[in-house]
Amino acid sequence: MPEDNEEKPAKEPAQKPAQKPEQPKPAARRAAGIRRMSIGMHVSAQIALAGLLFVLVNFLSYRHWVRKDLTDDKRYTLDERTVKFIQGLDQDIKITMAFGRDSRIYPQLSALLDEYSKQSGGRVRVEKFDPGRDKARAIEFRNETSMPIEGNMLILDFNGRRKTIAESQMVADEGRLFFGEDMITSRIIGTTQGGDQKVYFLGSYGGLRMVNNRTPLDELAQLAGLQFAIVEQLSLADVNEIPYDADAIVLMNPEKDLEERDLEMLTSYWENDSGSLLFFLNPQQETPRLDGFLKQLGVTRNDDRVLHVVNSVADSRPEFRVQGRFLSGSKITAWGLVDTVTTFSGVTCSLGLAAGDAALAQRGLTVKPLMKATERFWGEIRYDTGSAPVFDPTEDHGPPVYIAATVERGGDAEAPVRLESSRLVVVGNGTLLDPDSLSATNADFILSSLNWALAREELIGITPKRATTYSIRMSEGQTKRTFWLAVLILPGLVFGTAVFMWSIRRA
Amino acid sequence: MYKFFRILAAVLPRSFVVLLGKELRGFFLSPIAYVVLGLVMVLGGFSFTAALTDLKTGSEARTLAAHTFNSMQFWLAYFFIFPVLTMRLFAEEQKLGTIETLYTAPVKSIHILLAKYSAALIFYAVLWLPSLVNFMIFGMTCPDDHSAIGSLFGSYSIIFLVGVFNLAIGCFASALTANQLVAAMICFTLCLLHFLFGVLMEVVRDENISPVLLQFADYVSTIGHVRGFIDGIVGTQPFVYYISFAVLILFLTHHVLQYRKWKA
Repeated sequence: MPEDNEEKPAKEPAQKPAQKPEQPKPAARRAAGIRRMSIGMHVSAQIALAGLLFVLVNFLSYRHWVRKDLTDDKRYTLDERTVKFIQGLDQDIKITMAFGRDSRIYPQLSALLDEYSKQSGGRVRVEKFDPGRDKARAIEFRNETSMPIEGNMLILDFNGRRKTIAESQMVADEGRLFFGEDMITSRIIGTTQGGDQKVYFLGSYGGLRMVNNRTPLDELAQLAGLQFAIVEQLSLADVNEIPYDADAIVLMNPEKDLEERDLEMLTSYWENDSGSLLFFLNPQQETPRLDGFLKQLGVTRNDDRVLHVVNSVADSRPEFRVQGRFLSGSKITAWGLVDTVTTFSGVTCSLGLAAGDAALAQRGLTVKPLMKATERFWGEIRYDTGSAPVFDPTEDHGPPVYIAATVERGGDAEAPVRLESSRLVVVGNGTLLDPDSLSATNADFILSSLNWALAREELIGITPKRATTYSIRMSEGQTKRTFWLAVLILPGLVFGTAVFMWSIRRA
Repeated sequence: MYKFFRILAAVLPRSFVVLLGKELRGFFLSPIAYVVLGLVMVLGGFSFTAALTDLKTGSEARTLAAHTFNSMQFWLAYFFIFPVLTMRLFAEEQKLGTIETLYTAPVKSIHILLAKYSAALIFYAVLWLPSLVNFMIFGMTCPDDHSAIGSLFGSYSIIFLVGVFNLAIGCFASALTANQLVAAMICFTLCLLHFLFGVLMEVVRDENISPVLLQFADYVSTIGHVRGFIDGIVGTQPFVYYISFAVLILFLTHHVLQYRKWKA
């Protein structure tokens, strides 16, 4: 028994019995549950609304979009002439693009058609489907239109009038040339205006020099075909008059003079039928009747050769390849050829022009120079002496030396529609369409001249889009150094930095 | 850099700027970031030299930039970047337990989310600077005219846009789990599925596919957007699609974070 004096151990406070944790009351539990459910519903509603907003925004973006073409050659942008034309359409035209996705031109063509639809304000309606995948649509299309889908193609439909463009017609030069826009625009014009135009080539006068199995007629047919003008050969000996469906006549590098009968037909065509003529002269052939016809229209074919003299250490020799500069003042050149310099192969004669002549004006004739040789060239009269020619101002033809011109009878430059006017393009060189000397600029010039002669000014300047090509010149050593730098040295420096960082952190 | 943050702090909420600075330090002071940067430079370097070789052999209608960013090998390897950049954003903090500290700090979870996302996006943009320098140096030294600024602008624009979208997916995946590997797998799978959807819809030839689905696939197809942009056609549709989708995913991520915060 502890003593009284001994310290009694401190009495531990009485411990209360362990209490059970207080359970929330059922009502509080229910309230918490309801609150959680309410929060959950709010969050679900927010997520649903956000999803709906996402769908709406993207739907609007799908229907209304803006696209910018930043390519060097603007290959996805429509020419302003195309835009102007399709904005002027007063009826709808439907273009069906039946193309496989694996087509090389699919992206470019698809983007181009989107532009047609957008720029036309919906007048050009575009439908796209892959006939290889969407067979049901292909069958449905064939049943609707009675047109089988053969390969990749575009089908234009204007009030039941249908025209097609195959993929092969839209590309050339292994895909480097893309004719999509000019094909489509000219097809739209052809479809909305009732049909293709016909160009007759006077093949009986020769000028069909074959190079690599192609002749100037083949080149002309290809160029004209791009914009749906059909080219056919015509022998005037077989007809009594120029065919009624002749929208233009082309005479290229004639190897003989016009027959009297043929001249009468051409004169009648010019004066009575609002004819369109394109003459590419042969300086090496005497053509007095043809010259007489041209002289009446204010164009004189000079008996000369446009040349300049090249002086070398050994000797001096004449250079007949002419560099010519396109002039302003004509719709043929206004779209982008003005001041462009091009080269004519072969031989070229100069043209004397009676521009501004009062007598011609009285007859309703307007003569305009189209092209002149660059300043170092002149029209040499004594071109066949054998020695290096020297310019003689008393007899030779000095600058400006005109080598191409236009004549229009009865036309009004301001008139929106060509009425009863005849048009002539004459060039003092007959080799422009030779397959081995046809340059891109000359092809554009011939196409523009043809469209002007056919009164299709809307198409002037819409030329095939030539894809800019890229290449790099590097030696093996440079390639290796680039590889070392880009793949090993620079990344190696960065890896070294990683090791450095790691060691710092470790320290 | 200090001035940059001062300007930001004047315009943006302070907590966001502080968190952004912390995340950027986490990226740039980490050796992993430099490893990723080095690997991206190797990837870009290979593509660049392969493109140079292609253009040396003959004239091509595509630019140097288009060749560099056009190969399927480039795009498939490209999707490894996003899991690496984003897997640790939330998953690491959850595993280490530091996320609770963040939640209890006087910062909004939206600021936390945007700061982490922005830091990842800034670092992602920095990853592509060395490849841009390749083009600039080459442009200054090579005599051929192949600048094709449009193609270059388009290429980097689409890389950035696709990055905006895929980084958002990465953030979402990281917020879902505390395990970084799982987050990386989720991110990689989702990003690649989205990319392959567009590729498959171009390749599959099945006449039962609805035209509406084909149009939808056209609209969302990354490979289709890439082809257009690297050629120099820049449109508003991909901008709207990727940015709006990224906003939607970040919105979902925010809700995941909120759920975790209030559950803790």
